[in-house]
Amino acid sequence: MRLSDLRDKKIRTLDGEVLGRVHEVHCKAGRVIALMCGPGSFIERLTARREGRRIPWDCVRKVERDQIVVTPDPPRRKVKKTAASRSRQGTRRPSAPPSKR
Amino acid sequence: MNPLELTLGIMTAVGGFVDISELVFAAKAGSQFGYALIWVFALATVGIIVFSEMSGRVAAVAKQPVFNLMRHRLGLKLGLLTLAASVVSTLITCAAEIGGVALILNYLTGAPYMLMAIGMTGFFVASIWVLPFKWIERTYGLLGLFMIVFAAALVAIHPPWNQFARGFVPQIPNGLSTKELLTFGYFTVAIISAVMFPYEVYFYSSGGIEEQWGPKDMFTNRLTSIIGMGLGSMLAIAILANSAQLFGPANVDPEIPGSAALQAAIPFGKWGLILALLGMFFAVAGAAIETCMANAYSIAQFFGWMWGRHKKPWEAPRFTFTWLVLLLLSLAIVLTAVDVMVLVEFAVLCSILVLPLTYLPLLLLAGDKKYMGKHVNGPFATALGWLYFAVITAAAVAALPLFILTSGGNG
Amino acid sequence: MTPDSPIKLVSELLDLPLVDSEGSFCGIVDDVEFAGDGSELKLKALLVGPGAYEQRMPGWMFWLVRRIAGDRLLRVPMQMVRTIGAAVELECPGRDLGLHQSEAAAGRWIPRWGAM
Repeated sequence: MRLSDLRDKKIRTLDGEVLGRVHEVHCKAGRVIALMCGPGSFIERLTARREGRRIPWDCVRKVERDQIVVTPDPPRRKVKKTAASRSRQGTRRPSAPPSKR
Repeated sequence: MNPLELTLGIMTAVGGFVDISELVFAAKAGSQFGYALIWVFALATVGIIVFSEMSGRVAAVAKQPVFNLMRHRLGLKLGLLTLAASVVSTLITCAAEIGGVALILNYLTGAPYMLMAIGMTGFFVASIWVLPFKWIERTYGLLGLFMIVFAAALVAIHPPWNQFARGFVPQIPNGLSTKELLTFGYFTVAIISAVMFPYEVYFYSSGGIEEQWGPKDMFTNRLTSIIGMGLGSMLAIAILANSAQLFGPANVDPEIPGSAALQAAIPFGKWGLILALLGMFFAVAGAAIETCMANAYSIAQFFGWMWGRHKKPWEAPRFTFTWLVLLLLSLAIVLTAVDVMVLVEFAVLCSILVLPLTYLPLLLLAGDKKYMGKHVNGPFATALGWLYFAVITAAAVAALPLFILTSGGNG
Repeated sequence: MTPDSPIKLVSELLDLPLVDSEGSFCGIVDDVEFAGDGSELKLKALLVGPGAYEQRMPGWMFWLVRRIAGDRLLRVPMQMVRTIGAAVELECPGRDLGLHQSEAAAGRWIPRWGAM
């Protein structure tokens, strides 16, 4: 897989909601950790200050030819790390969507 | 900082400022509108100083030339479009410079124009091949100082200095017809384009890398930009003012580039004419080499090739092939016998259309603390940069309609 | 910044120039390759060459590029990347990674005399 396979791809939830297009991929320690999507504009690329919605890589279910499918209602803000979330870091959740609280 | 190096750098910038487009438009502007367009030269000069200083700073701190960083910000598709537009406009400019040099040699020696174009192209190939970067820049830049004869001519003809000074105040002359107003607008846009040609920034920033500028060269960069280009601009303004005083009242329209040389012949006779033609020859020849190399720099930097005349030609082979091919293409355009004035008009038009895409990434890079650290744009540079971006964008939007409506400034 | 640092691939890596350990330019980061099956993606290599343009431009444009420049594609393993800043600096000379092949091919046509 390449960066060009992810970039500009539409992000859609399992519920069918379109969240935007991928305009940035975040990496840490050599691993992809998140995608940024939203109405990423030309000006945002120019200024290298990206805003938009951050989708943790954990929420990605499938990378298809013309879209990326994620869990419904991925977190809108950066979640503060708790002991529980730290233990799940870097692991995929089971295929069933997580229960909403 | 070596004072001799600094002085030579400034003098090189002075002698290398004027090219065929500025020569033509300064002479025509003076004859048609008197001193009323001096402020446009001054305004555009401040603009080229601002962006040249920024590009030199980016080269010295980020150690990357403008076109490398431009692709990074614009991306591949828009970057390719900018590259293509820039190459085309600079190619036409190079052809105009080669044609201009051939014309000037024709005036000096009487030799046929086409033969001079071919001969001079061969001479440029030899110059770039044999000489290292600093010698190329210094030789033509310093010999271009013969252009000072135009400033001397201005003093000698005793122009109305109060009118000359008033020319620096932004103005639109009263009593112009609609056609004349549009022509004035066209000249404004053309002068901004001619002074702020994108190739100047590419060449300046690449030159900074060639000379291995670092943060210690910030002061040199600033002084060379401000003093060198400021004084160089005064030579162009002198040509305009001479034209206003000598050609305007006599209803002489300096249609051909050589007409400007008469400005020095009138007060100084034969020697004035010879010095003026020599100054024009070296200034325009230097510009021909600069445009060719700027284009080669852009292409090589965009694709990540080895580049630069700090390397021998065989150490950067693709760059070498590129500048050779570009020179030959420019010569081919001249050999179609297209009028040099037509080439100048199109060079100026194409360049202004490319300018906003050229300067925007540079402005953003120079303002990015991640790349520039403590040498990032301060509030003054930021304000000036954005102001000039607005000016060149407005000029780019107005350029094509004005060109069409005024038949390229011919009314 | 090193390859292990937090990095934004589009705005901080893509389209940066590559500079080898000898200070020579040797290409541009034209794309980035990942290893992994989708559950976890790891940075594997930088892709250099016109062959990497295919997914980054319309088909007709890539057809033109291929006619002019070919579709050569080279891989620079991430282990060979030293730092990432205004350029990507490599641990080794570009020729060790095959990055100077086109320059070498072009160089055979350039006479080696006359220059100061």
